[in-house]
Amino acid sequence: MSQPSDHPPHDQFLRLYAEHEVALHTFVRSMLPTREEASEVMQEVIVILWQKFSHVEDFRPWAFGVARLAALRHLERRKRDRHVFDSELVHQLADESAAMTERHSDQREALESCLQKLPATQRELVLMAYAKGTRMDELATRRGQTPMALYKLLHRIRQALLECVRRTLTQEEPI
Amino acid sequence: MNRDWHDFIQRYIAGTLSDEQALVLQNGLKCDKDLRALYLDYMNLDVALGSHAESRDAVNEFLTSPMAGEASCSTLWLSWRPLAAAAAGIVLGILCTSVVFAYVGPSLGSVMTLLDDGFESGPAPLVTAMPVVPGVWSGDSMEGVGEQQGVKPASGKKMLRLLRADYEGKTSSEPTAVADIYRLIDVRPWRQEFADGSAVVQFSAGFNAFAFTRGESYQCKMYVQAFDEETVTNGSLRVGKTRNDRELSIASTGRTMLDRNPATWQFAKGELLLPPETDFLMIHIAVKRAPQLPPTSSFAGHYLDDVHLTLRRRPLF
Repeated sequence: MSQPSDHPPHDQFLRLYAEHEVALHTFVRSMLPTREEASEVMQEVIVILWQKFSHVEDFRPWAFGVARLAALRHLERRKRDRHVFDSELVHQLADESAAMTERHSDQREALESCLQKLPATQRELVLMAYAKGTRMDELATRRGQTPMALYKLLHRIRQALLECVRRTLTQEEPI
Repeated sequence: MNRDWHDFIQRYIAGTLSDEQALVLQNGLKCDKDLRALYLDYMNLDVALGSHAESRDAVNEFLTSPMAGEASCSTLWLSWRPLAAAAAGIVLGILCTSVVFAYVGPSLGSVMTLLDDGFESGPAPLVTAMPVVPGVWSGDSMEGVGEQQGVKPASGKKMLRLLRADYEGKTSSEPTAVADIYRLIDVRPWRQEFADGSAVVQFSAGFNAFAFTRGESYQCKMYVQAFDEETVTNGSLRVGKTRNDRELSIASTGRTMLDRNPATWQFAKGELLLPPETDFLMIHIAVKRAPQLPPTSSFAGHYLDDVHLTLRRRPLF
């Protein structure tokens, strides 16, 4: 049986992982076609990070490196899918995503106020669409819409949200 | 930018691009840096909306639990689904069995309310900068008010209005653009609940304003600092209005911009991992006017409501 001293300090790992989790998730998402695949790869990433944590000096670049490799391995298994970009572009997107963590953190902070600016029905719809277990075809049926009509409505809402968070960032001054 | 790119990227997110469209998007991304930035912003939004939906599900579960209706300033222990349950579950599995498994259900946690203030009652706020005793709001000039200037309280009948960015005894006559308010919370009675370093403090506040003119802008932010007893009781906290650098730890919400719609409240939230040696928490809420306006310490109609702090334990392994 392993002793407590055989394991790296778990509270230190949790603090570091919690600090970088969202940025890592966005980084992985930037490389993969779907949210579900990004979540799947993130589960793999945390396992690797935990297993190898005791030998690491600088957590952030190491964690991003682990995440990149895990995403690339996943893409290799899916390379025939038209939604998988070629390797050169994937690396380019990964590099630029890693350089945008602060901007993306600011955008996430602005998202709450932008969600509040949406009409309540649109806000409810977009959060329902992102709720765990939601199936878009079932959601469309419940709303009396075709799936295509629902997708188009969600496209408009997401575009409005993105334009709002981008606009918010251009107006901000730091406190 | 060509509006079609928004549609292409969103079709990519939805998995509905045709072969030809996928190739067009790929070639566009390779050549156009702005398009790559747009794509990455959409991916960030995609992840963030998923997190928001998850958070809302967790809050709804909390609010519909049998004990939710009894929540107040008194101590209350509840169980609910933590937001980072997947990560905690996987790490727990590794430590216990050396076999990797994916987290598939809620993990245990308990929640205690440290502060739940809608400004419906309680002592009048002091105007004496940073407080030295717990249980009272203090800082710059402010007062409890009901509905006014088209702004209704976020909940109940009352809210806090910020009046001026100065306080009794302020020595400088220079107008300032930041209104600060503070509240001290004594967490010593709950020391045993976080003595093992496993607790987090989750905090949030609501902000609103009258329909101020275009060209003005206001940012809001909430900080929570952890202090030990000696720092709080030896007078070193009273360093004018500035934050104190003797804190054990500090966390803040993001910067929240006020919109010009009095009907909508903007909410900011954050989380602090609580050091085991903490004796007190200091809440600091700041509202800042954009610096390009003429300097004045007055705030014409800016409001605060629904300030919440909860203490939550995460299971140790």
